[in-house]
This record gives sequence, structure tokens and C-alpha cells, in this order.
Amino acid sequence: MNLIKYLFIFLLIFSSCKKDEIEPAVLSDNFSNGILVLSEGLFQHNNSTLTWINNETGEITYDIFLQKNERPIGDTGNDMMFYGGKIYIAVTGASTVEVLDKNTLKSIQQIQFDYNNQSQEPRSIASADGKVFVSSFDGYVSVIDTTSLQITKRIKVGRNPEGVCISNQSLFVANSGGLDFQNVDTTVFEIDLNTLEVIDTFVVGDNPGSIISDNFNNVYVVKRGDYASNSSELVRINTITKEVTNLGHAATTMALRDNQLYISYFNFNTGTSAVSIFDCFSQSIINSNFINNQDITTLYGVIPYKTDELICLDAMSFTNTGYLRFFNQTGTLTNSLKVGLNPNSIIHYE
Amino acid sequence: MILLGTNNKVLHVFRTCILIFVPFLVTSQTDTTVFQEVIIKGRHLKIDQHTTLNESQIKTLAPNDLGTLLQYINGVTIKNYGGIGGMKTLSHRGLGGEHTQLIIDGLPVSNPQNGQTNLANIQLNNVEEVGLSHQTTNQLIPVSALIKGSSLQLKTFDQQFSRKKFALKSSITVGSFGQKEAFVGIKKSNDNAFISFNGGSRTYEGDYPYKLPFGNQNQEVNRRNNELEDYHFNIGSGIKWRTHLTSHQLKFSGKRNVIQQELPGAVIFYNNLAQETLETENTSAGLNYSLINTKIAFKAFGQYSHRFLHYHDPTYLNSDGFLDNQYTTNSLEGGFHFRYKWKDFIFHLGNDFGYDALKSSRNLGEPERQTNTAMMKLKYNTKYFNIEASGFSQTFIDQNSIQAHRNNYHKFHPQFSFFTSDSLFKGVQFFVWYKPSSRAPSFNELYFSQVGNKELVPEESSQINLGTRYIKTYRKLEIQIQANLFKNRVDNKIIALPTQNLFVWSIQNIGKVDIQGGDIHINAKYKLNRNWRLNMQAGISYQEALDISDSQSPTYRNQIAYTPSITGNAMASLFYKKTGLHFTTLYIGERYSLNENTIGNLLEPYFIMDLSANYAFEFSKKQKLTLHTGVKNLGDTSYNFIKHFVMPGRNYFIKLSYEFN
Repeated sequence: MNLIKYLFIFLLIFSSCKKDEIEPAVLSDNFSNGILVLSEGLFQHNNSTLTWINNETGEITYDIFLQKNERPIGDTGNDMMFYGGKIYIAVTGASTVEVLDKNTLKSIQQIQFDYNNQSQEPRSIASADGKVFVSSFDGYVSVIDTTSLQITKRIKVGRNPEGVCISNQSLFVANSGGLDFQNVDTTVFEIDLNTLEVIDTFVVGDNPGSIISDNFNNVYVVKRGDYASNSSELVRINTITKEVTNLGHAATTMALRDNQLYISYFNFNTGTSAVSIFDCFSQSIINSNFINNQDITTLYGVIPYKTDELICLDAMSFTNTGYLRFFNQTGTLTNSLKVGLNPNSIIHYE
Repeated sequence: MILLGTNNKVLHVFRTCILIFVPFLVTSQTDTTVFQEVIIKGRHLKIDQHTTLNESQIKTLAPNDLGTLLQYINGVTIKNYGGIGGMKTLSHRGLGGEHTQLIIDGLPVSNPQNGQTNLANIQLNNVEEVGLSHQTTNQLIPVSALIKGSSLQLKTFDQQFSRKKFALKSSITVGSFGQKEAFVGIKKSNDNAFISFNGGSRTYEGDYPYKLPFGNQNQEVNRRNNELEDYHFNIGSGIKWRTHLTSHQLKFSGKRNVIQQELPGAVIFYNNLAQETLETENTSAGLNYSLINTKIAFKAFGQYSHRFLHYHDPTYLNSDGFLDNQYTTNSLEGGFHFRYKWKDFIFHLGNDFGYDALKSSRNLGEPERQTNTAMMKLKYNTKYFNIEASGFSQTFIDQNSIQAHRNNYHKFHPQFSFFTSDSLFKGVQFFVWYKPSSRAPSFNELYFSQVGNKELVPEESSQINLGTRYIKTYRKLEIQIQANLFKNRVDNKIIALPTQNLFVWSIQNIGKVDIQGGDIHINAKYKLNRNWRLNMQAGISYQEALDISDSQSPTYRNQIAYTPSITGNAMASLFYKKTGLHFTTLYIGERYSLNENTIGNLLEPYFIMDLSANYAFEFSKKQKLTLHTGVKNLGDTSYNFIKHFVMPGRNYFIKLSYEFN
């Protein structure tokens, strides 16, 4: 019996030797001068996180949502937006939209997206006129009133909508149909912001994803194709003439600053990451290879930072902790910060 | 010749070994000469099975299924996705489940679609012995199992000849969370034949509560969408006859198993709406023939199996509004294994052939595979050593009408082993063996919709083991200690990775894993007097399984996902007359949910205790009624092996068994 006893003691010692948990830092309730990063984590791992980078001290606080709210964000935080003093996060796996106070990062409301007892899986967020618009995989855009934080309307769109953006008095929705693989959707819907009804449809190509508007009445959408022979390209919709043009430029995600479109593209077959710059006024590529491919493992997105810097999101092969990679105006890597698993959105606090 | 004299005999043996091996080493490089792997039966110490659990040990543990039971075998890690019905797959010494072959009554059980058998679907009411063997054995098991990293062998009541004219086994079990099980098995035998039938059913509601760590607090939630219904029946028959000095046996086995279950999936925070279901139907029929006399032993088998899998998700957000996938796999397997004994030599020869074909409701084409495994083995027994060399030839041919394919795969694997016998050191045995093997990519890995990769080549593993075994009997106490050190390696490891984005994954041959570790296992039996007996066993295993795929990667030399470095178990049974009291514990150490060893991926270790007691009423010599009741997870530990696949807390069972012999 002694043998067993000692074995238990031995095992108990092992089981009690936990790694020391990191003590949460004392955090202010007024966040400023820093960067808030949303990392989506991995599907079914419930490990989406928010990371706070304090620009003054350089200190990085991991999983600040958990620290501030004593609960996790959940599974696959896919998009984050700042609007009217609040932060909105579309959490796909959890099927929620988290609404946070921008200054305190405390949750004001967690909006459940489970219409008819079925998960709707929210994806992307856009905002206008005191409303927040959230696309969800069940084929709807939900309208959230930013005062009551209630869903006031569900607008039927195409299959598995992804990106949403505002252009003039319209909301544009990219319908991916990505869950009907081999029979994907090809359309972008235009919704009138006054009537909240679909008023036009544009056929842009297979599996539309990321979408953005410029200041010249254009909407740019990435048709992702089939990840094989049908490649991922940038398509322009002229919202006035209703003309659709495939610009033939390789793209995965986009961001806008000063009439310049920053386009990220990751080619899995060659393992190369590229950032190009498209001038919306002259409608031409002004730099097709802005950064050094060696600086990034898996480019997951590009975000203009301050007046002339760029942040590239590095997903590190998707299964390792990701980085923010900072580039200066000449495309030189100046800094790398470890954040969370698959970082996809940031908010810059001035 | 200075050495001649004292150690003359040993030296002679040693020289003989060298002479025997040299041609093998030379020819193994060149071509088809197939020599063999190694297993050894010591003159006094039997080393065939590495670890065996017998019927009474199985009963003591009252496991829900084979997966639960195997947690108590040293070096085996069970990837456990839930309670009853929750998928359980095996990983042995850092090698994936595909490197272990399950054999039930001499017939291999495989799953070409997934590559590994779900051990949760195998119940143990009719099982009399479970053994895990790393090394090849003298037994005439199918050679396709001998080549594998390890083989798991089950012996059932339904397939054994018996001297009893009539035997019956039956049991009823009731447990927490709606567990209800019934089983009956009968066997009618005469001197030359038997016929058996057994069948059972089980249902489970599976609505167990679990604690969800929620920031600094715990939330208690009930598992839902976790019901299970399972029916199975087996028929068996056998005849045996003699011609001169040769005895023959022919056995038939037919099995059918139907499982309908809900799939609760991983716990997803804030979203407890899973509605997926899975239906599994396995049907098989097999024949086993064996012949044995003083010089020759021969075994041949043939088997047909049919597997049907039906997955349904009524909440999938595609245009149909649901996802419905059906898969049917048909397999034919056959083979023989021949053994010839001449003086101190034993010669083995064998070949297995398998054909698998998959049809599905998805756009995967109709993939087919032919697998061939050929083996030759030569073993030399001396007074002090046993030495064995074998050669395996593995061939995989894949075809699919809708796509061009990689070239056929062919690989020659030499295997060796060396064992000392009891004559060299009393009560102690030393052994060393080397075992390489390949496993083919499963149909899922090759063709899984957009993520499959038809260029995949088989994954290759190799194992080197250094072991010792010590047996000692002091009057009433019998002690057995076994210890191993091992070094394994996996090349061309098949792993799934996200590629373009998180929705598009790809299966690739890019992994390399370096594994080293050791285990120690102690077994003690103490018979105090006529009334009191005590059996104890304890094992602990350490393994370092490091990702060495890419020195530039953040996961370089990190422990691979879901591979605890330390696992341990202990069992103690105290018997007083007809009463038994059983205590078992299981410890699973830290592991990571991804290859990157970060705190975010860390899964806590857990320690589970089960306690049970049984009492046997013996009405007569032939009839026995046993009552077994117990509590599992005594400490109500909240745990999960796989991230967010929560396991049941404290639960109870009561089992009533009746046996007639």
C-alpha cells in the first residue's frame, strides 16, 4: 500500500506544480495613446483576445478583455470597429456582438446573434447615421441602434455575407456564399441607408470577401475565387455608373488612407506576402511591392498607422502567436510586437 | 582466441548471431530479400505481450469502452473527446493512432477513411483479454499488424473454443446521466465445435454538468446534444479437427454495430446550440483458419467489412440550410502467416492484402486503395539469447477516377530485436528492438474536399526500444517490474494546417517529430492467506515529443499538441473471499492544444480517481451473480483532455452480472 501512497504523493506534487500565472497589471480606466488589437484565435478554441499596447511605456497587456470583464470574448472575434465612443466586436463562433466602452474596455452589452435558436455567426461591421450594421453568415445584415443597443431590423442579403462598407447613402455587402463551396455567391448588394432595403446587385466574381469604399464614388471588393486557378483579385464598382471592373490585381484585404488603398496579398502556394499601394485618384498602382517579403511569415492584413506608417498583421502560419509588424514610409521594418493568435483588426488610440 | 575458455558458449552464440545477421544487413539494402523483425520468447521469461489486461482486471475497471480501458496501459495516451460515445483515439509513445493496429480475435479492424479506429465504439462485455504489443510476437497475427508501430489485440468470449457445453454471460448496467446497458452472450460447444451469439445495447443521455472556467469564476453548465443509442451483435462459430499429428481450426465471425449519436462538439462560449448528429454502422464477416503441428503453424484469414457514416448538421449556414454527408467504405482483406521450426531456428513468412473503396455523397470521386504487406522473419533461439531479424515490404496503391495520383508507394523496412533469456541473468531480462514502419494517408487526408492533398506520401515512423524486465517471487508476494527507454522518430508527418485563411486548411507532409522517453511499470500480487489477496499495479511514463520540422518556426523543439509529457496510473484491488474493493487513479500531465507551447495553449493536468466494490454470489459451481457498484471521478474533477471537450464529473454506476458455465 505504501507504494500506492507514494505514487499518489508524487502525482499530487506534479499536479500542484502549476506554472505561475501572470499577475494582471493594474490598468487604468481611461485608455489612451496605444493600440488595441483583436486576435481571432482559432476556430473552436474560444481563444479570441484583445491585446493592449501602451505606446507611452511600450508595455503590452495580453487578454485585456478577460482582465477587464472577467470573462473571455469567445470564439473567433472576426471584426472590430470604433464608433461613437463604443467598440463593436463581431464574434463569429460565439455568435455575439460585444459592445465595449472605448475608454474603459468594459463590456456595455453582449448582443446575442441567435435568431430563431440558430447561431447567425456575425462577421463584419460598418456604421453610419447612429446605426451599426453587422453582416452574419445566415444571410442577413442586422441593424443595431447605437443608443438602445438592440437589433432593430434584419435585412435579407445574399449567401454568407462577409465584408460591409458605407459609400454615400448606401451600405455595400459582399455575399461570399463561402459555405456552398464549389457553388459560391458572386454578388455585392447595395442597401439604401434610408429605406434599409436592397436596391441594387452587382456581380463581381466568385466568393467576394473584403470590401471598402473611397472618396471618388468607388467601392473595391476582393473576389477570392476558389483559392486555386480562380485567383483572388481586386474588383471595382463605380457606384454612379454601376460599372463593375476587375482590376486584375492580386488582393486579400484592403485599407484606406489619404486616397491611397493599401492592399495586402498572401500567396499560400509560394508563401509570399506582398503589400501594394493603389492611388484612388489616378486609379493606378503606385507601388506594387512596398515591403520586403522576408519580414513577414503570413500576411493577414495591412493597416495604415499614424500619418505615414503601416502595420502589417502577421498570422505566423495561423497556428502560432501573431505579430504586428511596423513599417515606415519607405517600407522598412521598424518594429515587431507579439500580440495574439491571428490578429485581424486594430484600433489606434491617439 | 584469448577469450576462449570461460565464456566460450556466450561467444559462440555471439559469433553465430553475427554470422546470421551479416547477410541480412547486406541484402536488406539491395532488393526484395525480405528478412524479419524481431520478437522473442525467452526460454523462461515470456516476453510476447508487453502489457496485458485480463478479464478480471477489465471487470475491475468497469470501463465504458476500449478507449477508457487503454488509459491504464503504460505509454498509451487516449485522446478523449467526451464521456460515453465521445470519440477516443490512441496515441502511443508520440506516434499517432494510425501507427497502432487493432486486432479482434485475429482479424484486423481498420478505418481507411479516418485512419484510426474510434475506440469509444468498442465495448468490452465480451472481451476476455486486451494486450498491447510493441514488438512482433510468436503468435500468428496478421502481418499488416506486425509492421505497425504497435498492435492492440483483443480476445473475445465469442471466438474461443470451450470445454463447457453451454456458457452464458449477461449483465445490466445503470449509471449516471442516463446510462443504461444490457448485454447477453451465449456459447454452445462440444468437443470439436462451438457456436456463439452475443448482443447488447446501450443508451446514454449524456447531460452531465461541467464547470466552465469563466475568467476568475466557474459557471456550471449542462452538456447538451450528447445522446447516444448503440446496438451491437456478433455471431461466431468454429470447428476443429485433427489429421495425424496436425490440428486444424476454422472460425467464423460476423459482427454488426449501429450507433446513433448527437455530437456536442467543443464547448463554445455563449453558443450552446450544437445540433449535429452522427450515425455509424459497421458490419463485418470474417474467416480464420489455422493449422498447427510440431514443426509448422499456419494461419490464414479473410474478411469483408462495410462501414457507413452519416453526418448531419441541421444548422449549417449554406443555401440548403443543412449539411448532410454520407460515406460508405467497403474493405476486403486477406492474408496468411506461416511459421516453420527447425532446430533452434524459427522461420516466419506472411503476406496481407487489403482493398478499400470509399463512396460518399460529397464530391470526392471514388477513391480506392490496395495495400500489400509482405514479411519474412528469422529467429534464432539460444540458451542465453534470442535474436530476430525481419524484413517487411509495404506497398500502397491509390487510385481515384477524378484525379491523377502520386506514384505507387513501396518501402522496405528491416526490423531487429535481441532479447536475453532467463538463463543469462536469473529473473531479469534485457531486450532491445528497432522497428520502422509507414502508415498511408487516410482517405480523409487525401481527398477531404478542398483541403485534401493527393500528393501526400505515407508517414514514416521508427522506434528504438531498450528495455528490461524483472520478475521475483518472495513466498506470498510476486513482483514484476518492467522499464523501457525509447527513442522514436516520425518523418513526413501528416498534419493539417490553415492556408489561405482560417477556413481553408491543407493537409501536408511537413512534420518531423523527435520523441524520447521512458516508462516504468510495477505489478505486485500479494496473497496474505486463503481469504485475503491484494493486487497492485502502477505505471508512469515520460515522453518528450518535439516538433523538429523547421528550425525557423516558433514551434521548433516545442512539445507537439496533445502529448502530455507525464502520464501515470495506479490500480489496487483488495479481495476478501468473494468481495473485492478496487481503487484506480489516472494522472494526465500538462499538454498543449497547439504545437506552440504558450500559456494560452496550455491545458491543465488532471488526476482522476475511481472507487468500486463487487460481491459475487455463487449459487453453484456453474452459476455466479456479481454485483459491482462504484463511483467514477471520485474527486468530481472538472477536466478535459482535448481543449473544451469537457468530461463528466463524479458519476456512479451499478452493474449486475450473471454467468453460467
